[in-house]
Amino acid sequence: MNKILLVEDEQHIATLQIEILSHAGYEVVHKINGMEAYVEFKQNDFDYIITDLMMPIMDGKQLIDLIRANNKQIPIVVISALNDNFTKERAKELGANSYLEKPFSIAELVATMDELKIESEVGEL
Amino acid sequence: MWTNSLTFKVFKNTIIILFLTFVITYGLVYLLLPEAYSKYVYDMVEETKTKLTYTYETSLDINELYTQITDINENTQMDVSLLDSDDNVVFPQMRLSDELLKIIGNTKPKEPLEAKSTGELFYKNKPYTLKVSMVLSSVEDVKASMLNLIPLMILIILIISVLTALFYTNLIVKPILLLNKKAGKLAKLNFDNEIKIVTDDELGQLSDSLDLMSNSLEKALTELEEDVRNAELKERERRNYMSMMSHELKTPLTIIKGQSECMLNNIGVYKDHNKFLNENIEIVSDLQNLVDQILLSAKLDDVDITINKKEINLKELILEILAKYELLIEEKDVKISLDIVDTFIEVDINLFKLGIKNMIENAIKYCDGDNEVEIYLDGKTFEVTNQYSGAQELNMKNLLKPFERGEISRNTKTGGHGLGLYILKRAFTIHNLNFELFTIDEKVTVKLYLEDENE
Repeated sequence: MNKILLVEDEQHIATLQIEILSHAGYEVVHKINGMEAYVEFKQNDFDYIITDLMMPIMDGKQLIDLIRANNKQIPIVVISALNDNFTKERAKELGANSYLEKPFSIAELVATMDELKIESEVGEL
Repeated sequence: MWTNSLTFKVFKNTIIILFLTFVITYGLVYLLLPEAYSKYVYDMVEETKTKLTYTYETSLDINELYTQITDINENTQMDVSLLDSDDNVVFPQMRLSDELLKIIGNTKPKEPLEAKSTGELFYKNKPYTLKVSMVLSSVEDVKASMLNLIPLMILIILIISVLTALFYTNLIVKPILLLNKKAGKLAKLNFDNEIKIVTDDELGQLSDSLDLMSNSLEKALTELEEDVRNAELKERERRNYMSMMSHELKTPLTIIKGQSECMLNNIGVYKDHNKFLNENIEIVSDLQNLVDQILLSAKLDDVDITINKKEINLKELILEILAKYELLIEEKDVKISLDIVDTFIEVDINLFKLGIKNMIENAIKYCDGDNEVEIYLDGKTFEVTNQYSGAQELNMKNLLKPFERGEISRNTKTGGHGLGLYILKRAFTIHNLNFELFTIDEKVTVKLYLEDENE
């Protein structure tokens, strides 16, 4: 219940998230765009997906669309610099479970993931 | 509803007017005719009596009087007789009316159905009475016949009303109905102007005015739609610009904040404080550069921007810029191929330099492969070409938009925030100078035309 597929095109931010989440006990696999992430998602099992929205080749919205077409259960967290309500609502409509705005703190990121983890465990029980 | 139609209204109003006219005229005739007729008859009887009396008194010729009485009795409705002092008729002696009176008895008409006038005259010293009368019973007959004519008159009024309604329908109502249809189309913003009314009267003029109004409305609406489309496009561009700017600003902020927190908590690779503190300082410098570029592009977007043109030698400007990038050229081992001549041009030096600097800087920063940058200036055009392995994948149109970057990775390590080409575009556009951005094989070229397109 700890494997995360992280989709982020900015290497510095990806490294930050990998370090923070690894420190919090999660296993993180990083991909730099939606296309690579979707291939990885099809080939391996993940418990959570964290994705940016603005990415080259395939953006976060397209990725969520593809994933939700096959998998309605996996929790998805969107992390984006866009903080307008339209984007937040749109992300939730697409099927995101949570929305975290950049710049985020360590506590916010870990709390978001822990919250989803508890919800998933309760859901399984 | 058909009762609201103009044809029906014309018919209804015509019938009302004609009927009222008929009632008033007919009523007046019916009421006033007996009195007027009686007065006329009385006057005529009195006048005849006066005339006969006068004629006899002046001539004293009884035969002449008889002749005139006979003439009047035969040719008019009046009854003239001469009576002696015993009221016996002296002349005419054999009158039909008298014979009838003898047969049917005393059925002489009573007052006021008879107009009568008498006058005295003397013949051979004997008094005689001259009696002139006329029967008024024919007035009642006229009144009765008038009443009998009423159904016929109503029928005539109906026929005239229908004919009038049809006449006005064709003459006036039909064009009005067409105008109504035309105005209805206009109300629905249908500007086809298919309905034509060919008359030279006011209706024709109104139709022409409607056509004119239709054309003006169509033109205004087209312009309005174009304005709305432009406004929507600008709004979309503004929203996109804000999103991109937010992304570009928040990305370094996220890195600085995250790395600082991780350093404080000694998490993973961030235990190496010196490395990441230096990295944070670099990111802050880059952020400062980004903010400067954002402010600069906002200044260039200002519609009220003023430019102060002065003549410069573009060749000298190119050499000055190249000198500033000497270190980067050496570092990247870039080969500069120069083919430039003295070219004098009137520009705002500060703004124009931004465009030229970005042309050269982009070529040096993004060149790869043989690392060659070709710079060409012939007095009319200025071109900068560089090798770029991803040239064929570049979307030239998008590259000129703010925060659009050519590299697929959008990695901040390679520098740039996608504002360089946008600033270049604004700097040249403000000077009314055309430029092209194109690729041939794996080469990217920016070509600037040095003649003001408005001159």
